[in-house]
Amino acid sequence: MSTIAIEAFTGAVLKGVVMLVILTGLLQNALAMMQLVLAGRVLARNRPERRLGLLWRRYADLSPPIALLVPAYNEELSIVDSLRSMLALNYPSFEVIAINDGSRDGTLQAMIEGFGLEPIQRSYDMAVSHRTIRGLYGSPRYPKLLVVDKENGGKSDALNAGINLSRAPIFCAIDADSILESDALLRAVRPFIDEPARTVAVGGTIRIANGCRIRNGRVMQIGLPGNLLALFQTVEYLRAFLMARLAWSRLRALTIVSGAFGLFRRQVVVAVGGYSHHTVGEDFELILKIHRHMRDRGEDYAVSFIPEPVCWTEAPESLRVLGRQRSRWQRGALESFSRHSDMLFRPKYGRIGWLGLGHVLLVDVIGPPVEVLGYILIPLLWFTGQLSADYLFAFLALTFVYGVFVSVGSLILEEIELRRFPRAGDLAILTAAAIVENFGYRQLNNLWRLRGYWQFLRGKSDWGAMTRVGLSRG
Amino acid sequence: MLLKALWITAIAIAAVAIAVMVLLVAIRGLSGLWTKRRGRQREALLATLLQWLEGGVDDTAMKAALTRNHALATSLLIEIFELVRGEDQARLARLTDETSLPQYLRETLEVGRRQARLAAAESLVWFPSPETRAVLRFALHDRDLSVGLAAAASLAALGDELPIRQLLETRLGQEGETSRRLEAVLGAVAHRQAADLLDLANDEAAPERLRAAAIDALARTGSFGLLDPLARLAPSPLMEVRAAVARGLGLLGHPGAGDTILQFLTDPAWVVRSEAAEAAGSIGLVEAADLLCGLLHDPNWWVRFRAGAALSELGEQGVAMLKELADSPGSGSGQMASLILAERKIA
Repeated sequence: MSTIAIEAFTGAVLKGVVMLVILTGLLQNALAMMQLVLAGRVLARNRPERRLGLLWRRYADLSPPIALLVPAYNEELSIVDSLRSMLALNYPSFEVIAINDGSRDGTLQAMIEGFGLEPIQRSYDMAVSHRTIRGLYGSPRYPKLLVVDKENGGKSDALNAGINLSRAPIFCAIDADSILESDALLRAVRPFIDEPARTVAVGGTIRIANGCRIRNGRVMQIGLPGNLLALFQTVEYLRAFLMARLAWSRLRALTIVSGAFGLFRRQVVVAVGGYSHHTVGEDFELILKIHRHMRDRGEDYAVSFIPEPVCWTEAPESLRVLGRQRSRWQRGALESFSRHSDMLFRPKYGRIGWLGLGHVLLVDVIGPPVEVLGYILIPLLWFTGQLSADYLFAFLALTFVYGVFVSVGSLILEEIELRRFPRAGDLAILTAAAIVENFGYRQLNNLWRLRGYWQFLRGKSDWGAMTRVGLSRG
Repeated sequence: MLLKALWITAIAIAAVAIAVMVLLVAIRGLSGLWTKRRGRQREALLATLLQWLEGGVDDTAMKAALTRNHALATSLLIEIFELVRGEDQARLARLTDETSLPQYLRETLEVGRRQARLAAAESLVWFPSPETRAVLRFALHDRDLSVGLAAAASLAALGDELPIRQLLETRLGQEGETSRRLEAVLGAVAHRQAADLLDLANDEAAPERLRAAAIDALARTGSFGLLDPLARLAPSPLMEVRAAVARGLGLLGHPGAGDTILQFLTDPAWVVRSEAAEAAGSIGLVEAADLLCGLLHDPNWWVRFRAGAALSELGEQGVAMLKELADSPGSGSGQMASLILAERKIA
């Protein structure tokens, strides 16, 4: 082959790759705009009711019992406070099932001492599989609390044990180190009241607790994190929950309910075999299994997202820990996508196959490598003179301001409809964060996601340590 | 040309984003002042209301305070109505009735936003009048189902009859879906409109879930006159209907339901067996003891659990059977029996 032919071939390949990069970017941008518009419409139509008394009158008599499942691993410092705050939730009928997943520290002992627990016996259904339960604990002083001590098997395994022990028709999975707002269950249960037969799962909003003042397991004052990484994550979470999940829920194509706070109809989760073991994206996997199950059976159902119930969680503040988390999320998404890729674009799976998984394909499968490819190729093409500097800068500027616009859009939704940040200055800080995150943080995120890609291809299956500094509990 | 378009678009987007955020921050700053002012007004009105309830403020001054800011007064009154009961609530209703607030609520129900209409439909129950009833009846056909159901619940609470069949056919429970709010409405009218609900329960063309909801609502009235009509529904081919009948008979707690419950204990659907086991326990159906022992081997855990629980409620005979089973080591039923005894702290 002559040199000219090779050059022509290379040029054509490069052009093709650049077109792929641009097309992927445009599609992602179009999706983001669609999410913004849809979320705005939903929030405008269903403004959250702020008066707790009214909510209680409206829903208390109609609310089904809920079992709160709280898997705990090495949480001895915070578990008693967390459980106390959960036991004080405003909800008419619930029990808290804390599952000590073979902790190596004194988590179990802390719970026994903190609540005066004693060994009890309770019959339970072995509906889904999990590691051996070593003992059950309860106390007449806290009739709503059940503690399960089991061998270590990971979060999915612990949740499965909780599912077996629960007797309520609905369970709520929540991380032990997260903080539920006192009215969160009352707000989140609404779809189970309005459409009890159709609703199989409901997700609520997760927000970053770094910077908030916390006392006795309750958020006393909302604030912004002082740490820049946590601040960027605050903007990210607003985009993910207020915009993306709300929009996908409206389209009835929601493919994820966060593992940190989600309500599920127990019977359906049991029917799909509970949480899957050997995956780091157990929340994503569960929702895909539910979609498959319901679609295969031809049943009418709904997986919904409600923006106003809030669960506060601690965001990583170091690059090392955040990087590990993002790689793990990417790996989890790829694992579940590969397991359920046969649903993609299949008419039988309707909008889940087309929209839900199509979105995952674009954002989680194609997105990360293509974006990094863009970061490499575009400067390279410019350097070799194949791309005009004028076009390069114009295109980069457009991409950048579009990203800022979408972030600002989610801030607008937050401000108009929910308004959780107490100070006007918070909005200005978040706007600045939405601008700055485009320089470095976004690119770093992509590298972490590529690492997750690599780990997935190599078949890595462990979680890695999730080091937390602890929320400032006053 | 393309280059220029790219730059213009980028600059336009950036300008819009910045302008909107500047506007939002400014509005937030102003609304902070407004919120503080409203908070002070609310506290003052609340203090006046509490004083009035204690007899420290006369009716004229109270009415004047309430009519100063309708939206604020309405919001506060709804909260106060939640807190007070009996004579205080009646006094408050009488006082408010003489202000323009009920009219404000009625207008809100007609033309307000969804959340406001919903709150108005719920709150008008405290201001019964022909006008209120007329507006609530109109709201039964509200474009939002929740508002329609709230209006139905308020009318039911006011003692009005509801055109149940017409509503179900045209609005509520569309596509066979019920909502717990609808079930609550059916429960609220069950005493007065038992015949309508029985008609719905027997209607083979009605959706399964609606029929079950009607049976549940009827059973909660506790009327023994329902025993025969419910028993006649027992052979229904629909699982949810049979389960509702079993549940209902358990709620009625009449020993005359024994034969139907015994029949349900061998039903092919586990949900029905489970409901029947629970009903057998609540009725104290000693004749079911042997069948319940057999159900401790049922493949479904809920049936085994409820059968064990029912045995523990059958008095000495049931407990003796559980103890005997618990003494047979290694068997599944023995394990369930011993766990039931331990859980219920029966020595």
